[in-house]
Amino acid sequence: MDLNALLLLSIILFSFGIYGVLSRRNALGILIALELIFNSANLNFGIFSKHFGNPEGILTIIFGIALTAAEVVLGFAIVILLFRLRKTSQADEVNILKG
Amino acid sequence: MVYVGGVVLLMVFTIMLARESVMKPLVNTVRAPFVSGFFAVLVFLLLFLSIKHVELKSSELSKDYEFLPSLIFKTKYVLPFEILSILLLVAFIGAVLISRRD
Repeated sequence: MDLNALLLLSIILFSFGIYGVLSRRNALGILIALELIFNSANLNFGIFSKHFGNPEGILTIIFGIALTAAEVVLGFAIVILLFRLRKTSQADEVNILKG
Repeated sequence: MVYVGGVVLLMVFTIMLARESVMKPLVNTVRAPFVSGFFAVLVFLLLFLSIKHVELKSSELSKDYEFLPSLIFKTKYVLPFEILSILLLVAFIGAVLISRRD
């Protein structure tokens, strides 16, 4: 496969993730868009690992996916707790710390 | 597989929790999609221009991934792998603890 086409796919994923993080107001939507960014980074590791024939990139993907799973679970728990305490999951309605 | 489970859970709860927010009128957020779209396109163009002239010499990786278990368990990466499993366990237990109904 062409390297630039695969990198273009990764860039498109990253841009969608940036758009989602900036435009979403639901905290879970922000988490999902963050997943897109993580996945584009992992995809880059995979692309370069395949391109250079270095198997340690695949290993880095495995480590990164495990870290991402831990992050998703914790963020999800925080949002659930927030929804239970404040009855909302909108990120901009959580202004209790505003000075 | 743990990752797939986590992401599916996230999406199901997003659909459940996003229902209550659809009804609310979105005040003063009309410009937010445009601004964030602008920044997304900006990032896209920046990265696209940065990869446009890349020419890298390639060497092929073997197609089957049979090297992967021996790479994980027989090299120096076995200790980070075990630490990672402990990290996942701690994250799951912590998530259960902080979202427990008490």
